[in-house]
Amino acid sequence: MNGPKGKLLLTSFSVLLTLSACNNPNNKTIDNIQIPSVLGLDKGKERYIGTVLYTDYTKEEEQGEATTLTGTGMNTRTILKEIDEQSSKPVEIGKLSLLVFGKELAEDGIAYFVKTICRDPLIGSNMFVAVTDGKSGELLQHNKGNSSDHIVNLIEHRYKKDELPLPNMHSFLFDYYGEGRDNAIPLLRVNSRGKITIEGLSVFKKDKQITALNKKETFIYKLLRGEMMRGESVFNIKNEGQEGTIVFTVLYGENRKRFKSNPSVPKVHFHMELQGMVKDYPTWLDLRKDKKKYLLKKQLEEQVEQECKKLLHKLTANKVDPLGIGDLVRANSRDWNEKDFYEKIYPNVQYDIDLNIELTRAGIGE
Amino acid sequence: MPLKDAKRAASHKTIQEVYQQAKKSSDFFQFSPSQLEDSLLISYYKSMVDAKAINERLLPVLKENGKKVKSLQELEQIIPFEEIEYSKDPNDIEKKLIKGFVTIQLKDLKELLIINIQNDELGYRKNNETENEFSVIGPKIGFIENINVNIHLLRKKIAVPELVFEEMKLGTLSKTEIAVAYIEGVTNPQYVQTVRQRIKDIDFDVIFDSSQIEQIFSDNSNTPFPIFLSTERIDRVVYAMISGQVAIFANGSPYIVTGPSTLLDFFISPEDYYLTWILGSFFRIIRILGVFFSMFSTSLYVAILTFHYEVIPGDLLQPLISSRAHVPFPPFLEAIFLEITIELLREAGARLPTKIGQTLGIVGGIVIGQASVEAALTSNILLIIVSLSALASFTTPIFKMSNAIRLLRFPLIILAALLGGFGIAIGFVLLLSHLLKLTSLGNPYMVPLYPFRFNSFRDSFLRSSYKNTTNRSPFLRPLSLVRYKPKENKDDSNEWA
Repeated sequence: MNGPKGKLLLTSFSVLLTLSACNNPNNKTIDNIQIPSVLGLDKGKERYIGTVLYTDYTKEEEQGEATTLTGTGMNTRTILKEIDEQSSKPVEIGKLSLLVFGKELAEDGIAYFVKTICRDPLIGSNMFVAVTDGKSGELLQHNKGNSSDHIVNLIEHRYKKDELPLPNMHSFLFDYYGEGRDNAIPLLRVNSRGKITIEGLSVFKKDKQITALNKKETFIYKLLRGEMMRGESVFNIKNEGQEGTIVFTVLYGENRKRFKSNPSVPKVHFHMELQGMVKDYPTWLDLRKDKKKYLLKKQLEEQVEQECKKLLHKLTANKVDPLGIGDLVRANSRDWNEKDFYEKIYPNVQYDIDLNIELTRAGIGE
Repeated sequence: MPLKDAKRAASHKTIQEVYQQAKKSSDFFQFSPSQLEDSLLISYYKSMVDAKAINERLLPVLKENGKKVKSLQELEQIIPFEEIEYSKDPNDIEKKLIKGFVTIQLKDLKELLIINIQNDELGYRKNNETENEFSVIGPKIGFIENINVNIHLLRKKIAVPELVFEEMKLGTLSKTEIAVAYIEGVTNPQYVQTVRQRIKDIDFDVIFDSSQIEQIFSDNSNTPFPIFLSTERIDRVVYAMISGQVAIFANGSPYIVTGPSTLLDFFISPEDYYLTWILGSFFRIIRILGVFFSMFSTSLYVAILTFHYEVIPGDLLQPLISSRAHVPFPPFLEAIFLEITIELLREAGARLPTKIGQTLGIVGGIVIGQASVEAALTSNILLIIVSLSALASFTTPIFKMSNAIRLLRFPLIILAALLGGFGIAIGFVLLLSHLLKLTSLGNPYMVPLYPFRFNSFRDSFLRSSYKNTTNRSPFLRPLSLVRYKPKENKDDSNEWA
């Protein structure tokens, strides 16, 4: 800092600091802002309704309990502005970790919101996206007594237990913008005990919700998708007049999808190898006997295959493609047109499932 | 110029005038031993001589044989001391008297016998433990304030004639003895020449400590970083010298300056070499991580809490917010408040005697820390961060470097409060460019990081096994690269096979 230039720089710098009183408009000290973690969006009569869920940790008497604020508007900005106007501290959405859409809005199309929200650089793409079967505002009201992270943690642990495909914004946008694939995002519901649970998956065509998958279908869907093939589901078993239920747990699996490009009959071939165990099974089933084991394996294979076919037909009937069959075909053919494919070819695609289940462990014997 | 006048006056003194001037001081003794009253006159400064040697060795001899002695030559024969001179020059006699020589005058003779019976050790501490650079393993002997003892200590460790000490005098008033030490055939003569030249160019009145020399002749004195490593540990100086560095001793200072130094030298503890290389490397990495933690943790806290709430993990939000809920100040003020408190504690602790220092630790650590959290002056998470970063800065083995690191926290905190993470980035870039600009005796300070020297990485962040560090670091351009040759085939020496 020598010479007149250095002195000028020094003076101007100190003048700048003193005049602005060291105040920075971007100052967002964490205890002076409200940090919502969930944003629910619904369709109102004329405008959209947005609900945020946040916890004010500075208030000790609330003991980390979440509160909601609701605002209306025509777009995200105005909704958030109205919410901001009702709060004693500025609402900052930088740590938003879940976006929930109400049923009406989801059936109407959610692209408008997704596009504006994902454009905000403050919002990370690891935010979860989910749908509820009623109003999202009402769902968030049921969060009472829990912290604002409750629903997020709920989805996260289901995902970590491999019961859901990756439900974040990143994969949502991939499926949304990717050609030949559709979205399937978690479906939230308030159960009969008044608690929020995950019901299954909600399947979209483009940005509109078409149908929903229940828990068993979600399990099958995950197997067919072929990523992270784990999870468990209940199946029936019959033998010599005896009937019972077993819980089949997939520990490891491989799924090779192949498209056989035959112009007249397009055929998609699934080759699935599953390794798993049965955890709960009826007492009459003695798994120490190879014959019973074989019987179990055969019946399981049959049922899983049936379920797979059922799910595939349900998806083709609804003309939705969360499995990315279109993408698979696109990768294996020269001329592929999304519109043509889904209108003409997709309903006629034949599925061929080649399934092999290997039961490795069956728990500790008596 | 009163000093020069005094010198001029001295040049015309006679021996009698020298004695007269000396007699003004009460510690000047002049006497003739009993029975020899008419023949012998002994004079010395009692404070400078070894009184025991005079009483036990000089006086008995004189009393026994004094009467027979007729000439100085005869006297020299019987006196049991080795350093004996003849002198007529009053100036020379005056100078030597002050240094602790004893003069013996035979009556009616102009020539005097000057015997060196000075007491070198008087007044110097006997305890030379390394108090400020302690290590659990390894020698605990350090240098002391006496240059001769220090040279002796170094010669004991490097017992080759190639170890050269060049003595110089520095300081117009103090005439401090300076010794530049290097190993011929290892140290690059360019560095020795640079040191020689720079010391010659110094004009200063009193040299109190070697760290003054270091500052005066350093390449860049406008830096918080120490350009030369100064240490009181013998093993450190020896290690610096065998890697091809120059050491500078100054009389009256227990700290030896070595150079050219690099930034990484300051984070190396001799203990690294006494533990196995795995442990040594681990502790070294811990120390280097501690530096980064110490410099950036508080400023990161300020930046994140003021600007970047997005990067806080969700589970950490609650403890951070609720700990700050009752604090009325912005994070910047609470951080500065705590940092200054810690600096005050450290400064007070350094000035106080050890026994009171312990009380200070309790007052500072427990009372102030706990109370300021309870009074909602600071959040307890910041208290943990600040005290951890203070702790981390104390792991740096060289005190000067740990001071520099603690100082650098403050500009970083201010930048963080102004511009957040961007400010820290600016601060880091400025710091890095400053470090890259620094040189020590013309040698880059950041080597081997920049300029990048891959071979020198063997003993930098990690302390490699002795098998791999057979060569000296080439960046110091030593005259011979090989330090030692490990036996190639160890099985040959296995005589039990």
